[in-house]
Amino acid sequence: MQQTGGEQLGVGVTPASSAYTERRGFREAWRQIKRDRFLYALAALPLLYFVIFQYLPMVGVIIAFQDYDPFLGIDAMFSMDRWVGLKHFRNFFDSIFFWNVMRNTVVISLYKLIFGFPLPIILALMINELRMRLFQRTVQTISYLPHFFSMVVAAGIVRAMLTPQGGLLNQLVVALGGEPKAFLTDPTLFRSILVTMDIWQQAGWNSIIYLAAMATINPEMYEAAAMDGANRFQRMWYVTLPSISFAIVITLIFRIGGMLNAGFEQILLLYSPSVYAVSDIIDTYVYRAGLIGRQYSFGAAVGLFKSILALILMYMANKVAQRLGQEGLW
Amino acid sequence: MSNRTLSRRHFLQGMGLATTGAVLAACAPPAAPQGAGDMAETAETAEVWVFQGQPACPGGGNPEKTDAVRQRILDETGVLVQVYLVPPGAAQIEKLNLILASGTQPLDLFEGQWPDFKGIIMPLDDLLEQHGQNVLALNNDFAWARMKDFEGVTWGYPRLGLMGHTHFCFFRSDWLDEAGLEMPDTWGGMEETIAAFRELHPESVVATNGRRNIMNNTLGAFVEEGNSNWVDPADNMIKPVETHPGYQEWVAKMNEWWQKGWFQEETFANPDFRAMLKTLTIGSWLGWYSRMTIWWEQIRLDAGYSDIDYDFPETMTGPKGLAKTNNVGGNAAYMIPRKAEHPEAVIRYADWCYQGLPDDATNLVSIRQGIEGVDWEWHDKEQGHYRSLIPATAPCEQKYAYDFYNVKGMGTEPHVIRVLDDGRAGRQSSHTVAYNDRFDLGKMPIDYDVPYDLAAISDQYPGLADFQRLVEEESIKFITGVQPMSEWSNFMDALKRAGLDKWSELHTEQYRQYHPA
Repeated sequence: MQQTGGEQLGVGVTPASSAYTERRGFREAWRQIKRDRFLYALAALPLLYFVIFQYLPMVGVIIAFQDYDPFLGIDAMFSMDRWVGLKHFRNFFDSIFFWNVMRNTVVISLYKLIFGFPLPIILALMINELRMRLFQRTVQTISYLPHFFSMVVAAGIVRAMLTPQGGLLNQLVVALGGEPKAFLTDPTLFRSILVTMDIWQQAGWNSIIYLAAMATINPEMYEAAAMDGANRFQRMWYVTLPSISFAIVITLIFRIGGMLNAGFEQILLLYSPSVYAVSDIIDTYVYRAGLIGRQYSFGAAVGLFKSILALILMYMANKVAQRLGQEGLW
Repeated sequence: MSNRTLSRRHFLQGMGLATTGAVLAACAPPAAPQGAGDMAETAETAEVWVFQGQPACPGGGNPEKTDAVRQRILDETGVLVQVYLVPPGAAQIEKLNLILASGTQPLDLFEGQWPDFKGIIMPLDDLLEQHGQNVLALNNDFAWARMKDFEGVTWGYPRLGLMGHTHFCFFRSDWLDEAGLEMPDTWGGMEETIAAFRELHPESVVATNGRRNIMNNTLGAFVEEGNSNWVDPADNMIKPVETHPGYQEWVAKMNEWWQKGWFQEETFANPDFRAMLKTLTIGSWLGWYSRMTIWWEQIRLDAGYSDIDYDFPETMTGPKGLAKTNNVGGNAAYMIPRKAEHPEAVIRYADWCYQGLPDDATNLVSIRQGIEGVDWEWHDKEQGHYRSLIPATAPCEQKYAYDFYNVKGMGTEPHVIRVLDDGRAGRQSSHTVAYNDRFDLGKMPIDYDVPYDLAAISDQYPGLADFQRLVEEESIKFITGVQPMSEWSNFMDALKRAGLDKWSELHTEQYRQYHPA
């Protein structure tokens, strides 16, 4: 909060002078808006996008506290007739699959975080160290490519590779003297497949932000380190990594905030009853109950519960980052 | 300087316009998915929107042929029919639910299990009485009984009805010849056949599309009631078949098959069945019949296989009698949403489809095949035999794609029309004609006549969906050996914890309204 001149001087502020200051502040703000109208106009469209598509729909969470019937129209949403309070939340907590769904969501997310978060950093460090530009660009392009496959195509590729009926991996297993195996129906392997697929699809793309951060490092720092006798690994460790730590922390906070998004589309396209026990996550549960089972209120309640948890996680991650001396998000 | 100021102003105005446009575009209702060419709704016509539940071509067929059929319906009924085409599967259910829930797109007719939609659909009794005499007359009493609730209110017109043709155990007939075996019709014979196939062709597998289908094909061999809820004599309450002692025996047998490596390993994991059929490794098919009568037939014809085929025994029996259970078809219905704008037009359109039956099936064949003389011709009109003039193998853009075929009814259709043997459609048609009414070849579920109101049950028992997932998941884990059979009692305990007693109480309550104790 900006201090007024009176406060700065420790002088008592009269109501008249307060009103004057307020008017002056308003005029100053308006003057600044007029001055930067070009920038504000640029920001208007994205802002409107967020208001219309991200914030206004939040009003809809009210149905989590109702027995909502979409066919009664929008008015019914604001009527107390169908208000049921926390009934749907209680039903979710009472579900025999509550802990299973929560555990799967957290475990799959953690696996993806533990194995999937450092890899783009390592990949970016390695790409950054490449000296042949052509080879560097080829590696970058190949590593980005899977990101552009739609999840349906990516899941199709994984299915085709893993099927026991002539899948590439099973052909390899057979060539090495093994027996074909239905990898996707094996509960002990399913999460590993999810994590591996996620890394394959996203590691290249996620490395871009680190490569961009590395491009801003002053080359003189590397020269100074070299003069001090640092080898390539030491330069990476003592110059590159600390210089991109801000980017690492921010992406980590975002990853933790989105941790409960364990990969809805990916799981929906690959799972089956044999592996429900290790793969059914909050989002697939909401999808079945809300959209397929038409229990819209129940689905909204579970979704809201997930969002609140995500908010708490993000807040905690931000606090921890600040305690560790990093900037954080706010 | 002034030029720069001017261009900024223009830019700002442009941004303002773009913003306004974006907001308006974002708030506008979605565009209609399937246009009707030059045709448009007028004061004399009523436009109805239909969600086509089983599109032959999800991207639509030949637009000119579609328009020709649409025009014929319009000329004769005054109803302009528009269609939503969405590929079958979860995405289709999702799309339908979104249309129903959002109210931003028109919808006048859709198909599904009517108790799932009760509360958002309108009763049809008066509409049928006024505009649907053909629809009323041409569906049998059984089919209508499944459309009514306990108060006798009719919530839809029949989509399926009772079916005797949907489940048979198919075997590779050329491999039977190779093994010198007769077509098996007993459980022992079936196991002997599968073992012989494995001996001759180690890559051969047993396949099915989902637990429910293999249950309909084989569970009756182990459970007196077949694949059906049962009345537990211990407490006289309705219970799910998974709690029947015979079900445990059946699961143990399936697990034994699995351990022997007989099953295709991904058979319970939604594999690509077309691709699986093309590998020619399926020795026994214990799933839904049309994978054979349509999909396999198509592959066979396309590939020109003359010496490879599948056949089935009419009956299969096991220790507890007939292995097969007849398909009740649930409460599958065509329904009209409460908010539909032209419900009477929907029934007029449906009634026109039935018009002339059973003597003259021209309308029915037209909405199924296209325009008479162009897309099909009569072979024997009195018998309802017609011949398609467009090959079944023709690509979608060359043919009419069933867009307006919204009176699919297994209770009526096989009795009145029959496509002659022109490949895929011929085998399917012959099969349904021959077996649709053969209820003597399978067991009848004990509650086949009870239209359970699952929405009402779900209201009182929120864990119903969890219960269903538990049953499905655990059964497959036992079959595939992920869970040892020694832990069966834990499964039963889990069912109790998941609310088996509540399930039983609510189902029994509804069952007793039709079958008093």
